[in-house]
Amino acid sequence: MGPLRYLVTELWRTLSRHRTLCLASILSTSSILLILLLFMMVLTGVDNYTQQLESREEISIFLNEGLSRADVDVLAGRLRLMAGVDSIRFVSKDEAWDQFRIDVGDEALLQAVGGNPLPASFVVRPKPEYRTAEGVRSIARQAETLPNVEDVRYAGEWVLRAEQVTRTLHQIGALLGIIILIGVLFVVGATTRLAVQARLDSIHLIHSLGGGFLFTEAPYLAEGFVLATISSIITILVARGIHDSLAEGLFHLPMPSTEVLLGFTATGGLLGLLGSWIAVATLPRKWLL
Amino acid sequence: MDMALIRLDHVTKYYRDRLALSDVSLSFEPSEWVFITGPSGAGKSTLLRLVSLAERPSRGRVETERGMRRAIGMLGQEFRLLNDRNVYENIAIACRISGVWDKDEIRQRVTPLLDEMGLRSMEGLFPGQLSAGEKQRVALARALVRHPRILIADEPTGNLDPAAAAQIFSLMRQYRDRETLVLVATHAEDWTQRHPGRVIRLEQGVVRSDQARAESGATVPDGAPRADSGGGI
Repeated sequence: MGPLRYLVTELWRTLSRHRTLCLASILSTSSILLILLLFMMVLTGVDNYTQQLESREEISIFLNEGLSRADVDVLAGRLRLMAGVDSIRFVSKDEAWDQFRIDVGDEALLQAVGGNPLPASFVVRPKPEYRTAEGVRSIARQAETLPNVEDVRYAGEWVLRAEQVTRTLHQIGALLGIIILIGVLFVVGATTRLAVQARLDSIHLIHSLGGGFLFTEAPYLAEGFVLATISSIITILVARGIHDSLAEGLFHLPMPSTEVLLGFTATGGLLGLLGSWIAVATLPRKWLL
Repeated sequence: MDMALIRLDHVTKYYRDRLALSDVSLSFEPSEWVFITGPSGAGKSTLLRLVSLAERPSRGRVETERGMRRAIGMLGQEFRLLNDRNVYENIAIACRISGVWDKDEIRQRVTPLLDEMGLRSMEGLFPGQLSAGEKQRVALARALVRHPRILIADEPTGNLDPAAAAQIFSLMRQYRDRETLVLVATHAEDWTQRHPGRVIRLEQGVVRSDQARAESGATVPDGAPRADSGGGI
């Protein structure tokens, strides 16, 4: 039996002897971690949504009725010269109507509309560095000042607002993370302390026999690590269940990537290790000596 | 050539303001059988804690070889067994603490002790299933399994009936014959009569006498280990 196997045996002995305490610790830690993981899932959803919005960076510039071919060419030339413009595409009244018909699909409704009321337009694609809310907005403002432009539409406002919301949510997430961190440290630390108190006689005895870190402290650090890791895994399984149960509905909570979940589990385990280390390190020395 | 395993040089020990030992100088050699006697509060346990290197003196020095702490076996009045481990594991843990992890080597060390202590048939039992005498034999086996160079026993028979106590002394005596220094603290003077050896008497933290006692009980003035106590022998 090597030191590692001894540690595993001791861990199993502790876990099986203090089942209720360990179970309470796992449930408490899992509950706290679940709050964080669900928030991370909400944040992942919001991030995905924001990214989708950011992909709608094209700007539609609607033209006045009755423009000549020359007027359109002049406008196209001026648009190409504008800062931040990567490419432009002209959409004629007929093309716009054809697309509208495909989108609506209901022939009766289209007949009710009567003739083609849609204007011709330019679709402007910004350069990569302008594909942000601010960049899209600056191009739109320039386009509005051009002659023969009736209206300019873009998703930039939504992107900007979504980005603000996302930023705020990330800040809340960071704050929540800190609170959760303290919570996990507290729960695991309290469990470790109770475990140490329950086995003080054994610790004193082993210490008096010359047992060092491996025999007196390492088993409790391992216990903290394992309990928190188990809690993290249970949390992920519960979150997966919530994710699956919501998959059919309108409200969708995306699971974070495998890498993020592995990081979550590792972080949980390390928090447990840290919590138990703090608990052991701050024990009155007379308890251990 | 100096044969001392451990030497106390003008050692004084205070616990807060209370003086437990005063200016004690003693040296101990291999194969010695030493009784530390005296009334309660005389400083017997303090002296043993200093010799076992569990505590440091307030003044003076305790001199010994490096790594000696792991070569010291301890036996107390309380059996202090691990209640969640069986007899075999209670003994084997001492091997692991001293760095012996090989299963076969541990078995080779533990089994002869189980035989010597009459515990072979009980190796799978837990402390709660043992009598006081059996528990103390387990504790003694645990103290001896690391082949200690010093065996320290603090009132080892305090909780035992006379027959069990005699058995424990007999077993400890065997180890004195194997080059082990055996230090026994006791206030039961009759044991010092039955087991000849060096007898150090403490009173109020001071060494009052340090003399060898022969089989008959008479003191042996010459050739006996000497104390050099400034405490007024």
